[in-house]
Amino acid sequence: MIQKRAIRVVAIGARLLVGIVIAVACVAGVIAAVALPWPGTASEPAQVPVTPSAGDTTLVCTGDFRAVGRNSLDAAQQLSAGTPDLTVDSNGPREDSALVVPELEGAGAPQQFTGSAEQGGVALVAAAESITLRDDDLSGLAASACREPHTESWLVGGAVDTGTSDLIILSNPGDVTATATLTVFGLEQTSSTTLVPAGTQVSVPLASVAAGAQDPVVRITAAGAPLRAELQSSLIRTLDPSGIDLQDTAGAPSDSLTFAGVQVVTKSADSALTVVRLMATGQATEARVTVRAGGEDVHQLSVPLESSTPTEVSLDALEPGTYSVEVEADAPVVGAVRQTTGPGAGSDFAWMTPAPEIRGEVLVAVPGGAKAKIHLVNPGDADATVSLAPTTGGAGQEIDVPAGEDVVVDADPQTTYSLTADEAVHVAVALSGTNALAGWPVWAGQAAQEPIIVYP
Amino acid sequence: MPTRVHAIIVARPGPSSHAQLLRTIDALTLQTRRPDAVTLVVCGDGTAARESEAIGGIAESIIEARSGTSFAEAVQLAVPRITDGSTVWLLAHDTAPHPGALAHLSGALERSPSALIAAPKLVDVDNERELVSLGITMTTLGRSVELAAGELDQNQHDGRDDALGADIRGMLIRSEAREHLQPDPSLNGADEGLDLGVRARLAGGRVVLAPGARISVSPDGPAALPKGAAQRAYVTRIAQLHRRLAYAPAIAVPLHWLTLLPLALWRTVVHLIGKRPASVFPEWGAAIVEMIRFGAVARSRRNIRAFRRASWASIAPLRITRGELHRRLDDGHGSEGGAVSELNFFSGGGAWAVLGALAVSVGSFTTLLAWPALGGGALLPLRDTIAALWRDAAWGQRGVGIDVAGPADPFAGVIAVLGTLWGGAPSFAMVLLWLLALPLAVLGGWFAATRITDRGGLRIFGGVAWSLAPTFLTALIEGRPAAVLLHLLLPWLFHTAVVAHRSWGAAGAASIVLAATLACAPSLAPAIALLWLLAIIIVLSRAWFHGAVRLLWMLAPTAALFVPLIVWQVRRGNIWAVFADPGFVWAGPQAAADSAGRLLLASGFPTADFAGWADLTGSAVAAWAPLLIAPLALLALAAAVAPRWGAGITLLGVTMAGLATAFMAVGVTVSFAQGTPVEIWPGTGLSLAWAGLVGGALVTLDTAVTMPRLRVAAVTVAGLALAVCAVPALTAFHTDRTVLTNGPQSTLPAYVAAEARGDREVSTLVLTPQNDGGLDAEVVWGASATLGAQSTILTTAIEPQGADISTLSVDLLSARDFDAPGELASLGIHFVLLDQVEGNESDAARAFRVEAVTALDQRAGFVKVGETDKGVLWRLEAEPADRAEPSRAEAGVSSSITVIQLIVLFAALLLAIPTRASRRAARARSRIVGRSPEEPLVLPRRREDVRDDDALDDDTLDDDGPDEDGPEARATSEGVVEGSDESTDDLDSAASAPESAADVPESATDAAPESATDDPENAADGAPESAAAPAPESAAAPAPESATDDPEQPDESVDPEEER
Repeated sequence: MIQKRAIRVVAIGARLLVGIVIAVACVAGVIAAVALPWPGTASEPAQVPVTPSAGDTTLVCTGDFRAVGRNSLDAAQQLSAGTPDLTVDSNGPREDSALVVPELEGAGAPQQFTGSAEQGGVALVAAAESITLRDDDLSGLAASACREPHTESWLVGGAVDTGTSDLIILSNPGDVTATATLTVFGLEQTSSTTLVPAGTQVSVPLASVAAGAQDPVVRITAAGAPLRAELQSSLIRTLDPSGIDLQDTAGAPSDSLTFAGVQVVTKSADSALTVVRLMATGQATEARVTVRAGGEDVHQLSVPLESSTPTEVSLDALEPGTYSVEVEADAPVVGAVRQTTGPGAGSDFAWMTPAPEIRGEVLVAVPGGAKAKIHLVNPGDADATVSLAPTTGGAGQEIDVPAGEDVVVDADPQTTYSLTADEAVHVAVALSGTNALAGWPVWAGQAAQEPIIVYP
Repeated sequence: MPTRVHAIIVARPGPSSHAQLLRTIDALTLQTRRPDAVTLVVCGDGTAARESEAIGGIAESIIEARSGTSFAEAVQLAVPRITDGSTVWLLAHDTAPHPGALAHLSGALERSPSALIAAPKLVDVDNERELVSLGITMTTLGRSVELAAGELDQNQHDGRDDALGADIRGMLIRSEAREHLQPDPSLNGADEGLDLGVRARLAGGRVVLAPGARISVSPDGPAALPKGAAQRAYVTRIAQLHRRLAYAPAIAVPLHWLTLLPLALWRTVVHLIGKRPASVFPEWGAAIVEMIRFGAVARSRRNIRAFRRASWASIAPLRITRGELHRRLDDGHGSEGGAVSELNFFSGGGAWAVLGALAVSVGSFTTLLAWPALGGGALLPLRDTIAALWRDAAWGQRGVGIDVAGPADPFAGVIAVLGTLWGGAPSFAMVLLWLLALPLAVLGGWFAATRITDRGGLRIFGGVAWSLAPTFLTALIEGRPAAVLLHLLLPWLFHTAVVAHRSWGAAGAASIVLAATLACAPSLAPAIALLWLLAIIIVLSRAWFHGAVRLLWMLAPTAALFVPLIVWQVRRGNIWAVFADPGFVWAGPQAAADSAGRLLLASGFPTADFAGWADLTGSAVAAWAPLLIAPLALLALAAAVAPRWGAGITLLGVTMAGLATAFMAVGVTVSFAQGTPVEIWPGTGLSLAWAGLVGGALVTLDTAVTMPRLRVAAVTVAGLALAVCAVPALTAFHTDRTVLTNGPQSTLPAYVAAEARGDREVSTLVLTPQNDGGLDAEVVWGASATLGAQSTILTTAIEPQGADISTLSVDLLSARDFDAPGELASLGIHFVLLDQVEGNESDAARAFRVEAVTALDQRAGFVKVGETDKGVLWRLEAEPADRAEPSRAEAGVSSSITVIQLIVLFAALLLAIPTRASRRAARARSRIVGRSPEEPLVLPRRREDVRDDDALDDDTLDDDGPDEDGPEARATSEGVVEGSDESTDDLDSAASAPESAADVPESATDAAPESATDDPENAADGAPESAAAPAPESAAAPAPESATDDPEQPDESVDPEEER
């Protein structure tokens, strides 16, 4: 009996010991499993990159520069201040037509060029226009490329202060009436719609939609047909005209913007000659702005951005020259850079919008009116070679753009160049003269459309 | 002068047979009236027989036959040696006649001149008091019925003189009839004696029983039925079918022939319901073989015709009548051996717990009552019609994509079952599921707890703890139908699978529940495979081979459902995708694959939301929520040292397996929601872990915590903590912290839903610009994207499946000028819907969408239906092509796969149907699995014994009343202590089985008692159990009360008895 009991005690003891060991092992195992890395596996979703087929390329030009307020009886009446000088070329047949401008009586019609895609794949068309005015109310150089219409455009620029008479110009080259929804981001967000009949250009005074907005940003969304939206701005300081400009859409919001061809003509310590206007479209973020020239960082600053609220910062004390500006943010932003020839009356200003990446062949039209430069910026990690040749024939040139650097090339006026880049570069055309300043980025045509990833 | 007797002995070669033969020869020499001649037929090598002197001394000749020769054929070989005028005595090597046997037999023949055959009383060689056979008759349908087999011989049948037939062994056949009355070899070894009796009767003679003539037979002799259940089923069935074709009037033979296969099908169903799956293949074998044996049937009919003198009506009086059959019907009452473990669902308070949970559920999800459909999270509507629901569950065209024909997710089958339950509006079934989820979880948990404890209070605690699992509540408030269904199914899997080795009923039910469980959470497959292997090892180590076969069957429905999907994914090199969560892939919140995420999972919560705590109190406070789980976890850990430590440790292993599954799942990304990778939901692994946790806690409470007050305190603390933990989740619905939404009844605009009402084959191309600038393109068939139509072969696709619509989708939105409506129509697309991503839409996505709207607006051939809250919809003007019909090969694959799946599932269902016999068998054993001899006994308490001071406490945790408590507790204690009796019990039931088997008439649908073929299995099962008992129970697997030979046991059982 005692022996049995002893066996039993030992058995129970062993059992308890084993049980405790197992319980402790469980706890220790879980702790270890939490701390140690676990293997995992991840597969890639089915995806098909599809490059959208290129259609016809339609470029829409601005046409006559509009003067507002010259008729004292009808302050809102617009008159033509002048017809711009147009430079156009294409690599294939193109169809030229004109838009109707009901607001400008007897003025020249804005041109519209359609390069047909049926001939040899992609139609490359380039056109640019420039106008120099020396009137009592308008003076300076305004120049811009003719552009394709978009369903969504961002106009980052303009002002509604006294002395400005900025107009949003909407062109509808399509066959159906388009409905434009203009959403103005300022301290508060307002929205209005405008009908743009087919084949017509209309204007909307910025002040009418963005009253009270300090540094407005306007989003134009087109329904029915795509629209070309641009901003014609002019400034009068006291009584002296102080510049005119034509500004295009700033492109889609992105967390990385690159501006090329930002010009600084004079160095001024006290007034902000070069200003960057930024807005975070989705969520608040912080933008890091870097001004670069010749491969070096010249100026750096960091801008906190609130969601949907435009913010302006000035880039101070830059030496005269041509710069590139990079904006990095953690959330998509839109932006534009305002350049001025100098403080005081009689000067000119120009808004520069971000330059998208270009790879492959594009046509670049350089209009007359002022001394023109082409600014090539390569922020990437690989050296790029850009060949630039006038389409009319003539000596082309091969330009090496080392990684992280930029190159400025002089361009002949009223010439169209064929530009081919083997790596992604950002390109802008910059025009400058005495009290004359203009510039715009070169956009890829449909030839360089990015493939769309489709998840079937 | 007595007639000559010529004995024919059929023997098989082999040493043991030879020993038996010598005993038979000895018995012959000891006969008071010795046979005049003996012919020995050896089926095989006869050398040993020839060399034996004893045989040489008595046998006039020895014939060697092929080794496969049957008894009837061997007898035929010996017939030519019989001299005219001799009666024939049919013997086998194992039939040892008692000394007066032949005298009695020949006396019987002499006494009754009309008798053509005299049959002896066969008794068991090992137990001469047990009758093996004394007379055989048959039913009106021709099934043979033993009149006295298996009974204890108390000479109670000795008055019987007449019988329709008898066992062939030991028959004495009158010389006149000898030529015509020879055993029919076509019967394949069964019913030969009955057949001889029938033929004798038709010849105007009769069969007399000579109970005085006793012959000992062993069960494995050459003339006995085969021992293997399947073989025995085959020979008895083929003999019956053969007799049917041989006896029937000529005109009825073709009709009988035609019914062979339908009858086989019908009897298959009966076999399965009767839990005799081993008889299914013999059934079909017998039917098919009999169908093609035209020659044998003709021969048998000729033999009958040649000797027939009387009409068939002459045998009618000797057939057994229905009334007699019913009188003999033994429903097995009392075969439990007194060990009745009742369920006590109502009296144990389980029903009240479920009702309470229903009240809580209605209180928590009040407004759900008025919703027609449930949306949000991973919820989608269901198909409109039952037909479409089931079409989604079968191999074929999937409800999404173009030309995607492939295997269905097994989950679609679960959804189909669910939708069918509310056939009028299947989507409402999901609302009901949500409303009933809590009570169903309590119900499931309660039943699972019956496998661990007999205490009503603890069972309720188990049910409640199961329903309050944080992972379950998270799945409820986040709208994850697969996880909710899994949590409801898991306890039933536990309830059935742990006893699957015990009975076919449990194995059948477990196999279905397992298939459904894995259908809801394929990611549990590795963990469950591990546990299954453990169970197989335990079962095999105890040599419970029948249990192992049942465990094997458990996998059959799962395999049938998953194999097509696995083959499909393996062919595409995407094997991990097999584990993908089924249903709608939703990129909802879940724990991350890092240490913080795993810590979250280890604490029982699948999301950083802590089952609503983070929303309610902020994350700082919520981080302490796992403390509320701690009491339960501590109780579960203590299970390792509880007296029932085997079960406790196994349950801890289940917890570890579940946690490992969850840890692994968060790192496996195989599913994609519109191109966004989504990890496997870890909550299902946590459900498995929770099962182990609650189970372990119950083991501790049931066996280790012996003080009633302590038990009450522990249950109260753990239960209250869990209840508090559940408060944020249960109130989430009222404070709008869930993602559940009312509807929508369709994910597509109402226009499409109306067009496709009744699940017409209307397809919609849904284009969704993605935040990264990409485009998601899918094709939805029918009125809505539905839960059942979702397919993992598309959600896990690593390359486009079916017709690739990517290029077409982009071209549609680009400037390309082409016949877009024509191309879409040729694919069968009716509508194009431009949707926007859920949640915040990026500028890229919005710009793309705006551009796409403009592009589509400008396309000719598209009619803009309008802008809806579900996107912008266009209708194609062109008439869309009909959906491609599957090719002949595809249709063949589809139907064969579907038929196989249906057959397996149907078989499992039939096995799972409880019968009176299976319910009785379940009651006969303790419901608790994995009892260990060391745990304290739960002894019956009598009212007078309950001291006043602990009466209250105990009543709350023990079964309700001492009165009801009594028999059950007594039963369980008997189960433990008197385990050694169990084998006897089983043998008893086996012994009585032939009787019960005897009365399943072919047409009987009711009350299919366990048959003779099954019960010996039980006996076989039971015996090794007690034999293997000294090895302590080491696992939850299914260990029925292991009986022990522990010498302590009697003491233990006696002591309390004495105290009482």
